[in-house]
Amino acid sequence: MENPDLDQKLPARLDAFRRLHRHTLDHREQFWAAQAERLQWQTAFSCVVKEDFSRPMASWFCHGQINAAQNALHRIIETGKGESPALVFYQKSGHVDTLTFNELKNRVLSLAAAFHRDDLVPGDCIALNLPNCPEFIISALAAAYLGITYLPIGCHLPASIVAEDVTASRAKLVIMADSNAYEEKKGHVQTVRALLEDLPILISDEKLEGVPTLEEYVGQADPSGLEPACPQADHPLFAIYENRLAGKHVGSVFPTGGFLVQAHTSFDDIFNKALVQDKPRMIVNTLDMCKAHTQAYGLWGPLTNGTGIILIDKKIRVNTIEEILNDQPNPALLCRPTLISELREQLGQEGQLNTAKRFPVIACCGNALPPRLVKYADGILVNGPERVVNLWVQSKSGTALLNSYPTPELNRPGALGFGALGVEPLIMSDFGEPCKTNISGNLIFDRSWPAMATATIGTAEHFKKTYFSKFPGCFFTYDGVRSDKDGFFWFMGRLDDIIKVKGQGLGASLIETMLTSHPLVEEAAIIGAQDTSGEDIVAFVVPRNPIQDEQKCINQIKDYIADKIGRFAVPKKIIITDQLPKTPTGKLFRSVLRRIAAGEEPLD
Amino acid sequence: MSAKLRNKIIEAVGEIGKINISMSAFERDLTVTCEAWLADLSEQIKQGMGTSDAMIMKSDLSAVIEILIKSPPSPGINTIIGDALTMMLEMERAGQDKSCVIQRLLGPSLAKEARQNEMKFLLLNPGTPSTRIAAYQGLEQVHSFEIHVLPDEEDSLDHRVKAVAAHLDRAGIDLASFDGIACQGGFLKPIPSGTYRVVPEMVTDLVEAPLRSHASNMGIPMGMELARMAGHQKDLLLTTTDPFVCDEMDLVDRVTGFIKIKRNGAGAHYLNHKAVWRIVASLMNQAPEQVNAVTAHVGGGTSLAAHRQGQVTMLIDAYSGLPSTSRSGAIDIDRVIKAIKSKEISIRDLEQVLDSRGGLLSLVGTNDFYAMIGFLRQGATPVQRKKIELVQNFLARKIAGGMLKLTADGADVRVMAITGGLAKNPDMMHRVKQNIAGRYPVVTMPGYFEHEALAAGQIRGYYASETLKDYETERNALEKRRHDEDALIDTPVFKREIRFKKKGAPLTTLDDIIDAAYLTVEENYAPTIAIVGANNEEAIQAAKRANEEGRFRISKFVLLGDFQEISQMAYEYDLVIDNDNYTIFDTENPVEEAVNLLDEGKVDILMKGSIHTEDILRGFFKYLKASGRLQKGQVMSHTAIVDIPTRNKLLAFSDGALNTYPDEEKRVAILENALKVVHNLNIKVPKVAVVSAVENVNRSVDSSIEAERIAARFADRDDCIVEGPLSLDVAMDPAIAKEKHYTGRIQGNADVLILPDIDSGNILWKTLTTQSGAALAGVILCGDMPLILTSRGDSTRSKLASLSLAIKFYFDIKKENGVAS
Repeated sequence: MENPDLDQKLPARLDAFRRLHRHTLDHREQFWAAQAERLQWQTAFSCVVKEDFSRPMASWFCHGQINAAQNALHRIIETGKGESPALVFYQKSGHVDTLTFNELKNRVLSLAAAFHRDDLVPGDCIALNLPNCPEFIISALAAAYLGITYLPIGCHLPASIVAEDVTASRAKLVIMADSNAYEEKKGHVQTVRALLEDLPILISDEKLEGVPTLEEYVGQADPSGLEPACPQADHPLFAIYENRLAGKHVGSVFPTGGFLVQAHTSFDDIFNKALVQDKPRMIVNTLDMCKAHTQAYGLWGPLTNGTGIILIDKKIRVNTIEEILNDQPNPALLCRPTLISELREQLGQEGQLNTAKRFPVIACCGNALPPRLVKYADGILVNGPERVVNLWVQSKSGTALLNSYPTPELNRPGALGFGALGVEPLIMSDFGEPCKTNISGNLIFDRSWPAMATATIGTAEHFKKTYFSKFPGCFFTYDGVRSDKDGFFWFMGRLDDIIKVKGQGLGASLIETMLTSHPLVEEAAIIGAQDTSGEDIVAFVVPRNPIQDEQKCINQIKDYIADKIGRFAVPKKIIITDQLPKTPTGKLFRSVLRRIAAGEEPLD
Repeated sequence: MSAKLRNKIIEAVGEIGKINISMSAFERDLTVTCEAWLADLSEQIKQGMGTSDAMIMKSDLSAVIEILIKSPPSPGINTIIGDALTMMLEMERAGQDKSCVIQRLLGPSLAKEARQNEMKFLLLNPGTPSTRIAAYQGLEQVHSFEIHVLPDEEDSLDHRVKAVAAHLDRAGIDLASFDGIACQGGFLKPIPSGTYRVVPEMVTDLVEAPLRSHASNMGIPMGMELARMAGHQKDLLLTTTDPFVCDEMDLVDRVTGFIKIKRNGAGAHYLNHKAVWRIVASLMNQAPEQVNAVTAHVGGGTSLAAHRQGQVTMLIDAYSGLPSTSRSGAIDIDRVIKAIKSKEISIRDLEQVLDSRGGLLSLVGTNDFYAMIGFLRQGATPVQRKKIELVQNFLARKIAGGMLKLTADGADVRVMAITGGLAKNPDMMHRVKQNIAGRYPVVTMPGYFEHEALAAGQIRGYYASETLKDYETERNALEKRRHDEDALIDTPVFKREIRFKKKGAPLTTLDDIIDAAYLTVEENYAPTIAIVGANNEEAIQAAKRANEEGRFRISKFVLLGDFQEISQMAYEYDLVIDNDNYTIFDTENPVEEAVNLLDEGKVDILMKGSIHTEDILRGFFKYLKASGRLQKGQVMSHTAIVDIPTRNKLLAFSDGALNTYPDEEKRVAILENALKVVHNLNIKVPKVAVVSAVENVNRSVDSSIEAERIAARFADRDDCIVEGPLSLDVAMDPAIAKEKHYTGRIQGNADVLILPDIDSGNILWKTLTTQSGAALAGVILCGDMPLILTSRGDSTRSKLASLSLAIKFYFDIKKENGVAS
């Protein structure tokens, strides 16, 4: 293939697609430059990428300047879509609010003017402790317009953590909801406010004593004459905290240029270019706003492509889905796999939707939707099993790095799909050898991608240790996958258990890497063991040298973790062993460890 | 033409005959004269002879040996060579020059240089109760002492070093005056033979993971500590020579009859073997590398070495080889296993017998050979004398046998030498020589040459430092070589042995069933087995192993169940999901889907995974009924096939798993199912015992009445012999059947047992598998459909056998039906 025409359709045939994919890898910089040029740059970038995974470092579109909000609003309005719906909000009351691109732009500029009035400048940060609501999107766009970084904080987190996050980020303003959705969190805003003392807080919904609403805050702010910021491509667009370790907040920071380019490209590829007709014009975003991939597929991706966003402010029920399908122009659905099984539960195995309309595409983020649910969705939610696509995302990936496409040859029920165009996933055995067809191994990337996150301040070493130590010079995903003879990737197993401790999901790998940095420890494995009171952390430790006093060693390790991560992450049980159970190919037998941790099997 | 050849042959044979007659006359003459001459010499040596006489004798002996070793070997000549060589060494050692052995080890030029320069060195040889030390100057040993470790003293490195230093101090020998220290090597990592410069890495190997713990492991650390004490002004040369762990064994000798056990050369008295071999070659006036020899070290430990081109390529080591004064040596392994099984001895006892409580100690009650000989002369009863005679013959035969064994590579062995404590006993040596019967010249070299060898190594290292070897280099090179050899030995040829049986011959073991299934698959195709509920480790492992065991894949598998869970399991167990041999079928209703797949012909056989037995049976039963594959009167039943170690054929029984309390009709149907299974094992007319508590009908035992009725219903069948009631012992034990005067056709040789109910069936099942080491395969039969059911406790082999049974059954029925239609 000489010069594939990337601006048009994606090939529908497998072999043609695989050739195209290969081409985008062989001419990676050229490919990404072409993708970037589809957006509006204030200053053109001078070089596509500078990267060095041995440090690790990656910087995309160097010296380019780009304003994300302008690309999502002004650029779209210029193409004549000013009166198209940009944001539709299904409220709890049943009321439906719609904002066109023009209206959205006005709201965004007014809020930006208010920010400007209050001396928020590029480089500042604001925190958004908001659910799926228009205020989130408006605030994010307004911040981006001024080059202000925004920090989404999950609505499920307790007030104390919200306050901690805000403090850690040095945010100058917090916008939050006193949402009734979380019954147990009555008085949430007041609690946070008490913890944060002087910091200005705005409330997005009902008025609360002493806290101004967003509306009040905007007041008479005048957007005329407000200049958009000109952020550098690697200026942080937003940041997300994943773990709160002792003294350190570990998270991801996403660069404006790279993230915008890849979100725009990925969304366009999956929802527009793969389809010949029946393209979605709106996207229903049911994902949690505090995730990076929600920013990509539920905010920046659709808006920069002129696709409207639909948000639902209540538990998603079948009748809401029916209503949306009937009222909205060809909406696609963005969801987690669990939504499909929830809908099936509501409908019953034999139930049908009360409308003949179907989603053109359902995109599932997270675990691949199992084939039986794809089979279920086919006919009820979509026309054709290929219309359920899977997006493989992780906290550092920003956008999907593996995905399937809504066409018959480029999708298989249950598969993760292919590497995104311009991104090459590799499968490596535990001994560092590439895996052959169908042999499962570790999913890694040996080159960066534009939307790749960098570490939050002060956690670079942790970032390197976590993602770049097992396979030096490669980004390790902790996912076990295989690829079949057609090039489809299949998820096989997770190498990093997520252990729920005190409401936070704690990656086993986090504690494992911390443990192995202890001088006494050669190797370590962490298992979550179900206890009556919740989940317990059990650690298996292989000491570097024979241990004389086991108890003393265990105490040392416990103190170390308490010091480095926090009391909550200290394993309940530490088991010293001289080797970990492994398969001949070097994989850890986690199921065996789990049984040992549960006391079902002795350690020998 | 042929007449010409014939004449030529007759002529040649005639000539040889003539030569032989005159040869043997000469030989006889020579032998007799030589014997007398050597005896005379021996007498002279004892009385002491002048230096000039000795020189003349020696040159006479040399000349005789020189000629004889070149002449064609014959028993007479070999005996003369052996005796002459023995005599020569004896003469030298009896002479004035005490350094004759070291000279022979070093060779004339090096010996001359060393004598002139008078280097001084210390020799360290730590043993179990003492440390033997010696000081050398030039070629002479100027001081020697044995420092005992007293019983109430702590035996440590530190202590021994201090003791040596203190002794030298007392003896007025200054540590700083030494030029070097020669240390006994101990159990290092395996290395080729030779003299090594002592390096710290050796201490690491000796301390961290010695091949064996032994007092000699202290030699090198002691030497290093003493060198440190001597001060740094002078760089002492530290050497060690031919430690116990030398390893030059050739590949053929490394193989044993069991792939998991490989031999290596470690564990022999290399220092002595190598010295003896060099000395004997020197006596023969030949370069050692050119003399292929066998040397035997017979003493507290016994080891034998075959020297080929300077390397010990074959070996009988000191632990697993010949009996000695206190070690048993190798004993027939099956007898050992039997003795252990019968609780006569424990593994611990065996270890002791092998190491310190066997051999002479075990046979006559002392580990002192000479005490035994003394007792023989004085105090032994006639029977005891006979016994001692027997033991002597036993030892002699073992030693001779071992030596001859080391000629089995067909090399041109020039000489054999026996050394060590036992070699001092002429009677014993005579017996050994008698057993060797002149096949090779045998030289006896009583005593030990270890100190001379250590000293010679040190001297050679000092004057010819280029001969010193580097420990790490040699060790690593050898390890690499051994690793490559191991890979060759471990190379699979047939992944699993398949023992071919004649087609149609009755299958008598579970392995037969597995082999038969492979053959069936080879003739047909690999069937597809659906694992119902595959999110289960057991099932995943069974599926994986089934295809790994044999020469080719025995089956394809469809794994039904939760996609994610099965994926994760497959990932952890390295099962390759390729959508051909292994396919995941994502479903929440595995039973339903499995039955659908069966109906569509997409799978051939079902296998139970994580699903409850009753659920899968219910679904399966429903399907069979609906599809008309279950005829009236047929029931579903489980037939177990057991391979009992003490029995020479398989035993089937039913039903220990499925039917709880079947009535007579049901039991007849169960019997029919069992017959199908047994016929499938090529047992044409199986003997079926309908088992009860008694072998006669007894009104108060219901099962006996029923058994009689069931047997009666099969009376006119010619494809089986059904008898009942039978008690289990009559059905299973021919001796008891005879003793109880049972008159039926089943005489303790039943093929099938039909049990009254699930209790008795299950009790029999568990009794056999837990108490008699029986392996069990099972299959559920429903009409002509097999269903595989394995339980958690089953071994992999047992699971594979169950799978094989079902596969063979599936194809056989298919063939039958094909023929029928």
